[in-house]
Amino acid sequence: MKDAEILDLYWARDERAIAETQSAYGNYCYSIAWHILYDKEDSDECVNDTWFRAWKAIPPGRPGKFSLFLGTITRNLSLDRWKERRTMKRGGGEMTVALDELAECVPDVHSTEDAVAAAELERLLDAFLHTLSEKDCNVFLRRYWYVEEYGEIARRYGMNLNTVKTSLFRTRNKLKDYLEREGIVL
Amino acid sequence: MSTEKELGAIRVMEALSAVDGELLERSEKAGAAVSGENKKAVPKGNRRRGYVYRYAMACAACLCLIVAGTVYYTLSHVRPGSTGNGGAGKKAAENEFCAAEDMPQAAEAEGGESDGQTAGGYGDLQFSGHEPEWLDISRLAVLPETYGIGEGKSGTENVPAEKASDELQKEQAENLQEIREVERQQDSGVSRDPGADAVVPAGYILEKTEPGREEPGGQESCLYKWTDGDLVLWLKITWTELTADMRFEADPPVCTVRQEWAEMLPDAGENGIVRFALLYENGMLAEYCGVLEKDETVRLLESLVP
Repeated sequence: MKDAEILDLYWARDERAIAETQSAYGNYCYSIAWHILYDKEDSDECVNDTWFRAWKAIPPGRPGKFSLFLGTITRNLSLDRWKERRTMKRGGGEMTVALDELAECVPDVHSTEDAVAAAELERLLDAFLHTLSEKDCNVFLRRYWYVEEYGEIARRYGMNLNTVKTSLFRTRNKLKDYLEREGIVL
Repeated sequence: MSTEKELGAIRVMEALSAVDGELLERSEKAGAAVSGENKKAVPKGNRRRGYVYRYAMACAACLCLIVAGTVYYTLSHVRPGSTGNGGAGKKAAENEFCAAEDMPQAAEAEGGESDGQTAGGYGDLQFSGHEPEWLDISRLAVLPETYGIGEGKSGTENVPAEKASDELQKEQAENLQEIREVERQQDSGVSRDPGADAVVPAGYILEKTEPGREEPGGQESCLYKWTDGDLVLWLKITWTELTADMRFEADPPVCTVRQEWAEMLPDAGENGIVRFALLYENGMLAEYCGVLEKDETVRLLESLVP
């Protein structure tokens, strides 16, 4: 079933919308959750919550890119669940490694300037990503949006593992410089 | 990682959720396009043949190295005074081995108290282009294993019994002289600037050459630095007294051309950098530090000797 038809089911408040969404995007959303949480139960829960949130949001919303809409919801839910778990114990998986890497981008300088609002950070990050080459941007997003492993990224783009690592290393350094130049305090 | 940095990283992670959907879409499409192109560009049969060809070439190269090494070792262990039986030849070979063993064992005793130089003591690598820390060759840990020592066969085993011992001694002395003459000629022909014609990937230019460097053990070395404007490739060549029948314990790994060194290239670290050292038959030690792919690294190291 096409996205437009599924969205029509949401608008008609037809419960088949959930089943069709599960069928079309279940694996996609589960993959996003799994890469962050590395836990089947939590991942299933986040995916189910995603359908619930989508049901609440549509209508009045009608997303242009349905997969992205669902993926973003799943990602946010998974990040929240990960933070909850983190307060109890520090887990493993790619999420922890990815966060360790991103911590390198956080500038060391602590200033007295006010912290930038989350929206401003989002805007700046978006602008930063647009300055990157297509290859570097793709690799960065696969790593830090989808939390994919190096090997998966290398296979996806037909790149060598070393090239992926080098690309991410350089992009993180550029992001750190960019955030420092913009005076971002995180 | 400090708590502040972790919180900062989490904020960055969360902020990425609002990234432009077109960028995410592009990352999906690019992946699908590449996998489709890879399948279309090379027919399956040709891909398989390519793998077979490369594997066959690698096996042929290894076989040639083994044969060359065996011949060289056999010829270099022909000694005057050996008779037709293999016992004296074996003893001569063992004496040779013991003499060779004394040198690395002495070096090992010298460097017994490791200061980190022999085991991964490269220190922090400055990716911005600062020269990395190199091996201290005078303290390199040499393992007491020698390539090619087996049943102690000597080249004199097949000498006919009826040949007079005087004639035999004369013949062996002549052979030894010839071998040493060939070695001298080979050494004199070896370039003292092997990096000048090194094969590096397109885009890399030679930025710096530093010949005539003095090493701690008294050896001479030459340093090369290539760059593509962003990434840096280092190569240090040292002329040592080491021989390719030695085995080393070091981090990063040190291999010799008599080993299957191409298969022993290590994987890159998290920053994509590979460190590796290769000892050639003529005692030249090449230390490599860079981000090249494995086949590019192999081509570079193979190009250092004619």
